[in-house]
Amino acid sequence: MRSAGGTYRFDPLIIGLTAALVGAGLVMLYSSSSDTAADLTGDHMFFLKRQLLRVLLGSGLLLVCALTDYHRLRRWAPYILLVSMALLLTTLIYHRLDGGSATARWLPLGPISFQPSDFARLSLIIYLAAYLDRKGDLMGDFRRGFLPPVFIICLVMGLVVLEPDFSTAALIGGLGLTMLFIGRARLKHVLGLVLVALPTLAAVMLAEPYRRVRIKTFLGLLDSPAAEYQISQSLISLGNGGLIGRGLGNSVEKRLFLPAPHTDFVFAIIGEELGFIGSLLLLAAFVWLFQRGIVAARNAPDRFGLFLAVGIGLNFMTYVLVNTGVVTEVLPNTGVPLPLISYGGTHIVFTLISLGILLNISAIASRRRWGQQLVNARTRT
Amino acid sequence: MTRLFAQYQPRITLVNGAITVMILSIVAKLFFIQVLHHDDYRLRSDRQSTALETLPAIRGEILARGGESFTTNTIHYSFAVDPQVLQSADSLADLFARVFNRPAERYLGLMHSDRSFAWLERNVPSGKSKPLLALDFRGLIVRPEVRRRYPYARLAAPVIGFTDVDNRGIAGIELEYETNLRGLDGRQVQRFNARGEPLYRHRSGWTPPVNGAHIRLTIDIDYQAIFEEELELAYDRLHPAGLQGVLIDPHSGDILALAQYPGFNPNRAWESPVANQRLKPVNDMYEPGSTLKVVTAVAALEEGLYAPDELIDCENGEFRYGDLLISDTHPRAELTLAGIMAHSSNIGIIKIAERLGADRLYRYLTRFGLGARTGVGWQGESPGLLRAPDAWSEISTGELAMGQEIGVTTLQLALVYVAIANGGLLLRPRLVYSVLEDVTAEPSPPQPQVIRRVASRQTMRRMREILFYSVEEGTGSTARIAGYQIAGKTGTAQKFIDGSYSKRKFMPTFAAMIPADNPRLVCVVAVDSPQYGRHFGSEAAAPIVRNIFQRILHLNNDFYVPPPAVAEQPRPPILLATAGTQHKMPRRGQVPDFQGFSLRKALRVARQANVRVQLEGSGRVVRQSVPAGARVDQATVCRLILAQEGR
Repeated sequence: MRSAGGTYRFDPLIIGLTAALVGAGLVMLYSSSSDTAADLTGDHMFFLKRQLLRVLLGSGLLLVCALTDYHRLRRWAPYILLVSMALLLTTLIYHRLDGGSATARWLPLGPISFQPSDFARLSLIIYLAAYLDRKGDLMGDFRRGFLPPVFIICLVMGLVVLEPDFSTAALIGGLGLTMLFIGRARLKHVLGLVLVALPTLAAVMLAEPYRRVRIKTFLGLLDSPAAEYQISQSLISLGNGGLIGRGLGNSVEKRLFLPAPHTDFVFAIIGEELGFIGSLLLLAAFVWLFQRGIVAARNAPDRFGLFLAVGIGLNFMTYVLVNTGVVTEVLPNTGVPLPLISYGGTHIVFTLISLGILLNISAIASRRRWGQQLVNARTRT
Repeated sequence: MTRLFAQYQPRITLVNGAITVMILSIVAKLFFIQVLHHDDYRLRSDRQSTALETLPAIRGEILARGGESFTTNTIHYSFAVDPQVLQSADSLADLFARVFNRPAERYLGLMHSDRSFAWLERNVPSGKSKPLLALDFRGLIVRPEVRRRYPYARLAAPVIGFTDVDNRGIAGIELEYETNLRGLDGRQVQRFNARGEPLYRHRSGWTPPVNGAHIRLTIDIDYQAIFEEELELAYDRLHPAGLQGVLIDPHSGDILALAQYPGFNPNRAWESPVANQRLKPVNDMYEPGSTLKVVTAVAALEEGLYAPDELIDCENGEFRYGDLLISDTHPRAELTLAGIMAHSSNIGIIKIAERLGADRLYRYLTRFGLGARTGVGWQGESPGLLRAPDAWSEISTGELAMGQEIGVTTLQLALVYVAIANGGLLLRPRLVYSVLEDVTAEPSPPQPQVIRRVASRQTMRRMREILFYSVEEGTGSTARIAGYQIAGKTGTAQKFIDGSYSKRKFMPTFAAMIPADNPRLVCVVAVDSPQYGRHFGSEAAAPIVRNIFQRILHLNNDFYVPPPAVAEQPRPPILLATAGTQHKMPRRGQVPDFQGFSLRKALRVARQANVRVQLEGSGRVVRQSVPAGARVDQATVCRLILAQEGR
């Protein structure tokens, strides 16, 4: 279906919430990163400037995606997935050739380092939405409906685990499985797969020593100050904020106490400076944005739009949940960024791209609805 | 809602519900951390990021009478290491070894200790610290410290005292007035980043320091310097064990100079023996000898025991007193009270003391403040030693009159003369003029503190006349200064060593006041064990006082031609001796009786009386052109005819 001419009616709440989160994110990024930036580079705006560039790039791509009919993605879905998997492979090979550094999560692309797993996640969502659009009625069939996408999911996960980036792989797995579950896969298939997958995942997880330490620390089995340091500083940061916070810019923990205050633990600094009320407002904004995604799915004219919107919303929300869960010690420590807020180039760009797609779905859905009302009015007269 | 959506809605609602549960659990945890346990976490945050820092109060200055500062506060640096985090100890130790000229092993030992803090060097002057201040060694701790310096070094050092390595007063005024000088340190809560670097925008809990008060002494810096220089010169001349002295304003009780030699340099106090650091004129007592005869004399005058011209049998210089054989240095058959003082006759003063009796003598000794602390306010001040009469032997009365069997400090001795000088009042001596919170504020001068009246004004005036003649004609003549009236008394006490009085170790003293009729300065000097042969008070101590007075007179012209208060009223002449020569005290502008004077003496008396004379012949004066007692001006010349005796 083409969007030839006419004006789009984008969901103004998605635009407003995105803008608010990105704006607040830049403020908090500057507040949380300035000390670290000054310490590392001598320029306290170092991280802010780079994040601003990415936000500009991401906003441009968001606009392009919002103005591009999302149905084009349905046709491109397999190719997009192939490209993203090729990039994952390239990254692996590049780093093996480069001297086998421990982690190969980034691919240097000129001044920006590109994290292909972010791209792979979005392309998998697009692929699964396209698959469910096409084969949605066969999902009850294990071999013809359920197994092929599971195979694709495992393939992507495997590439990501090899980087090694276990948490992203686990998130991709969970996300894919949830999409299949919503796509009316049989409950016994899903549960069976989970039963098979969990021991496998556990084995992979415990293969790496640093992950064992993190898990033990989380479970309280390991009394290691070094391993506990980051999470204990995160809790001190949040607790220090109290109900109304220490005030913008007044975080103490960002003064080199809390490691990664502007990336994975930016939420702790937000909690310290803006307090419980500030943290709550931020979470509310995230949840609201997610619910607008569900609204877009509800109004989507077709299954592809529906699953794409749900996938994008879920992807977004999972990261919010895991990030804040880690910061509050509800989940074990793992490096996951907070969408739209954390410093990290690829993630914010792809989050903005996915929100652009969501905007396009919302616009086409509303135009369609509006058109339907027009037809109904005519037939009545 | 589309029909399409409806078929997926239950599962979407399920997932949405799961997400809501997760969000709520995170919110619950947030509430738990941020609201319920806020205080715990805030405390943990403060504990790891703040420290209570003291804001040091600036130590007050110690000032001389005229406002000159005996002290300065300078920034010094102390260097320490945290051996647990120190890196490249070897190069740091080498550097310190080079700067401080000490073996590198010394520093290496400290750097490899298992403590977490070790001083390397403390209180290094900023100049020497310079190459070390630029260092950026992990684990090297540099701490600026305020250090006390004494720009006048040795000057009045035992009075000023000094501070210890932590800048606390441990001697002298620095110790006595520690609380005032120190002030009150302020405090502030300083926040640090994780690396311990201070965050200046996060100050709180700020209590400003209260700087220490300034202590203004009664010491006159010029007089003090003169005094100490003269003691040093005398030290080279007499080779004594030590010298000490005090200069007091007799009307206020202000101590203008308090000196001793050898002294010490408070900037390097550890280099000199502790004995030199003690304030000897206040802390050390000794037997004063003849300078204390004034007490007996004042008592005799006040009690009216002797008529001015009454003669006392002085036994021609040989007298058995108890089982002691008393001899006089200047044997005389008979002397008046004034003569006994002038010639310092032991026999004479014993006779007077015996007539006075033990109880009355003791009463006067105590009235003069002897045997009790002066109240100057000094740690370890000696009260002296004065036994009550019931502990006295049969010869104690005479011994005490001669200034033996009693211990006094130089300050106590000076206060005896202060009472004589000011007309009979025993004063509490004052070393601190004022305690100033602010150096620019000038409080009204404190009132002199009178302890008691010792004797009447008349008695003391008579005593001053006697002491004036003691200088003019007697043992104190070595203290004479042409044109000035000085009253004083010498003393040559034998030192009591190992149970008997030494024949070679003496304690010569001299106590004097100027001008004699209305004294403005009282000065006492005591010399401990000068070279034998120069051990008399007249030879050892009196010239020091003369030099001190002379130099002070050069500073202050207003000492010249003092108002003739003593000579104003007519009164009986002072009789000095039995030899038939009677002298009146010369009055300015009044022609003296020159009869029988030697040429030299005639000139001196004329100068004192401010009378121009013309001399003829040689020998002694037989005639004068202007009769004695006539008032003359500067235009009148009095011709004196001299002739050889026997012609």
